[in-house]
Amino acid sequence: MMKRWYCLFAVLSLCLPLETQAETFKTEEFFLDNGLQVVVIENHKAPIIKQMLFYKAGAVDEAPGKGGIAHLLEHLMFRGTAKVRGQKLNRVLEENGAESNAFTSQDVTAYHQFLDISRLELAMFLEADRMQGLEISEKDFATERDIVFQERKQRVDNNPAARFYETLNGTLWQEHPYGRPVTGYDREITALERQDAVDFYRTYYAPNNAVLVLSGDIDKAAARRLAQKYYGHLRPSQIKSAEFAELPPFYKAKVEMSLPEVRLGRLVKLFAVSSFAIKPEEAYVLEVLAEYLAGDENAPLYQELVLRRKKALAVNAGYNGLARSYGTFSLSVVPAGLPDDAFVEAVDRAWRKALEDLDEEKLERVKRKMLADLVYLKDNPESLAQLAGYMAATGTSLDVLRNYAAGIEQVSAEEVKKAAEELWRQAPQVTGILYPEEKNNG
Amino acid sequence: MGKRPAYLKNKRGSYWVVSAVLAALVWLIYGYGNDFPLQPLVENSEFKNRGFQGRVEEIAVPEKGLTFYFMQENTNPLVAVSFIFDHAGTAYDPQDKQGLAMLAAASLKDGAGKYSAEVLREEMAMRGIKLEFGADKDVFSGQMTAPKSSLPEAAGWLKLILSRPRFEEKYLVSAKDQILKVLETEKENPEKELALAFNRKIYGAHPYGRNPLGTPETVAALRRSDLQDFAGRKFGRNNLYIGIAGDLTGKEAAELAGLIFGDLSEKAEVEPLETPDIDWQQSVLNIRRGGGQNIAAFAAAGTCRQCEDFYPLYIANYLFGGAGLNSRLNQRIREKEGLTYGGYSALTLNDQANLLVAGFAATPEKFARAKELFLQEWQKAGETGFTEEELRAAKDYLTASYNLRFASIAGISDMLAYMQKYDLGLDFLQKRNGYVEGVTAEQLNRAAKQYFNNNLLQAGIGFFGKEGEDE
Repeated sequence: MMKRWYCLFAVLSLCLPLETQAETFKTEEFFLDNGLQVVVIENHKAPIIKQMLFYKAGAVDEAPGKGGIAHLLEHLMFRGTAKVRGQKLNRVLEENGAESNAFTSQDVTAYHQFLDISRLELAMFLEADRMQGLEISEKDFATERDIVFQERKQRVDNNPAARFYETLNGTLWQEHPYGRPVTGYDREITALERQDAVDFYRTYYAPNNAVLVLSGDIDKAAARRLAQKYYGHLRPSQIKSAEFAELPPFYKAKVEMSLPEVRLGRLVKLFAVSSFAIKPEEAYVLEVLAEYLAGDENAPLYQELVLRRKKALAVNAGYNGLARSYGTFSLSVVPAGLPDDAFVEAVDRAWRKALEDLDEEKLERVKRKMLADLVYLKDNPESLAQLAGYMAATGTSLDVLRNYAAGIEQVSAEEVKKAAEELWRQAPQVTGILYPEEKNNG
Repeated sequence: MGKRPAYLKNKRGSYWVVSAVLAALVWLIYGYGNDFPLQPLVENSEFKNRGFQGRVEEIAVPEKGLTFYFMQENTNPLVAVSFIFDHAGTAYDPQDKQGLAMLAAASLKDGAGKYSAEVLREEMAMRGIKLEFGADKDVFSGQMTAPKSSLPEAAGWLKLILSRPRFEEKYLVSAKDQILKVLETEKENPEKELALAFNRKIYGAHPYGRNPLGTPETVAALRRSDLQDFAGRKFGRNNLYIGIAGDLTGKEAAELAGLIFGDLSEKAEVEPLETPDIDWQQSVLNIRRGGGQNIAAFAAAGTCRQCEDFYPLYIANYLFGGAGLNSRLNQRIREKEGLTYGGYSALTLNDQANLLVAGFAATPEKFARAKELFLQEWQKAGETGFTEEELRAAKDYLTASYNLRFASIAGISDMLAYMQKYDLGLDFLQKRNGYVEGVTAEQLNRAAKQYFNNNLLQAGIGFFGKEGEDE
């Protein structure tokens, strides 16, 4: 509620899928014989539960030129199976009071329902049924391709700054598939064919490439019994793990754009860094760094750029460490005037000064603030379901979640300074500057 | 009919043939999937009938002149306090001080009593205390959540913030700069541009028609004294609704409420706004602009939360465009023809004007068709209403999803506060599913006929030629 106009600035956060925070949470984890990983999180506040099924397959797994197929398949998963035909899945879930949806990201595709515990078995049956029983008609395929095309128009073309972010990602990631948009490009979407969806489905939708999360009014024994009952019969498949292009060790790119209808200038810096899946010890440090730099209005970048120098209106630093490949560190600033060279220099200076000023006492306060927030993750069963599922599906050990508090506590000021230095001098990075449209230049 | 085919001549044989053909047709049309027994998965579930145990209590603190709703919930050591100051929203800003309520919401935490903004923010964050303020057209609201162990400090700071806010100058300047920048740039988002313009058109000069953030002139002119005056005039016990939920007893909740709110004035301003006089015959508003899609917005009269036809219209809206992909609107414009990523409809509750709103977005070449279908569905809802089967499906959803409202402690405390604002009664949670089940097809269709009528205001933004009224 507070400072609602930040929602306009929120685009700057690059809509990272979630905040990576957790604590010594009680999560249970086991595997079925067919390879399905099951994560159970107990929350007995109300007789409700969140079921999430993550596939370790997303836009990065698409063949060249087939951009958007992971996302289009996600839509088709609501169009019927041999047992539950047409749109009956939607109808039945709705009549049983479920909030049902799905999302696709670079790394994963997830299907989820939030519902009364008395309807859990129904939802488990339906989710298991569409893992291998999907039927895709030419007609449904054509309709859903039209819908995802409209979705891209709505998400990207109705957002004047969206091209800026697509360009930044493309520049940072180069050959790496993180550089392609999850929706696919217009021409890719319209060229997709039914067989592309069938191929992607057959390759990646299997129990040994999935993570089931049950978070809510359930215990481990019941979860194990029901997971076996509804998912136990599914066949594992041969899936080879994806190999991602490795980025060159260091490059520093700069992108300047001016786009129609854009009225707000932006400065965005993106860095390719480690993820929790690859190097958790580095990931904790980057998480603390982001929080120290711009976690709240007391943070040094806000104090310096917004309050003292009045050069900026909003500052945001973020670290997305939940990824199958690289993580991303980001810094975004809304300038009070134009994002010109002097402004970029002021931001760089503020960053250096913040790190020079950092000492153990300051860092201790940052860590305490981060740890004090963890209790909120145990409130709504949906939050931890999303977090734990995303972790497991990106290949991050759930130990990161269980030992999160300890991981944060161990971070020292020296490590944070070193990580910032390496970020600046060694990480592949892009600086993006977006100018407002010039209205009166002839 | 011409000659009957040979296979129908034998009476007995024809029966079998016709039956077989019919059965095949039924199979083809409905699919064998319909026979797959899904209902037993619910009926035989091992988790049947686990009710929610939470109970709403009304707690009075007579020595402080307070009454509030409370629910104890012990599974996580958190407490949430939601509070609403009625008649203190953005539409109540004085004409020359538009933007005051939003600026107050943004600045209230910037220091209180002897605590500077920095100290207050730091101390709260170190203890996991979260505090948020906001304003809509009618009310100014706030919500505090805190770990149980930090409750005494949280209560003390919130009391100070409400009674002795500092509105420190440097934060005030920066908050105003941010708002002014947003006012300058918010048209970047076409949806926002349309919403603001349509709102202005619907309400005209009535305060509901304003940009809630104010105008560049009024925001620039706002002073610290205006904010202090706002807090003094608007934060009272006589216009306050409180909901408390979480890991504490009723007695502790009473002490908490008394401590935070007990010393507020009894004389906050409570003069309600005038009812806007909406002209439902206005022409279509079309705004020309480039972009990927055209966006359409619609508005018609709605009904009030306490009105008799609230639940019938609630269900009608749900079936028309509130139910996501299964709604008639989305079935028609999205699922069948793929014209859009989706449409919606919703009831908007304002104290002085309740609306039924709707909209969708589509690329220009598909927009006309989508709009045609939208208007057909709108007219159909008004003329022929909804079927018994649709009514049953809506009731099933609304009653089966009932327990989801208890997912978060902050959601519960908000609900408790709004139950009082809308005068729903202490037993609302026990009665709510009954209200839904009690709606008859006749009531539903009477409401559909009354509200899905021709007094439908329309607006759009995108690639328009000369259609309608341009801006």
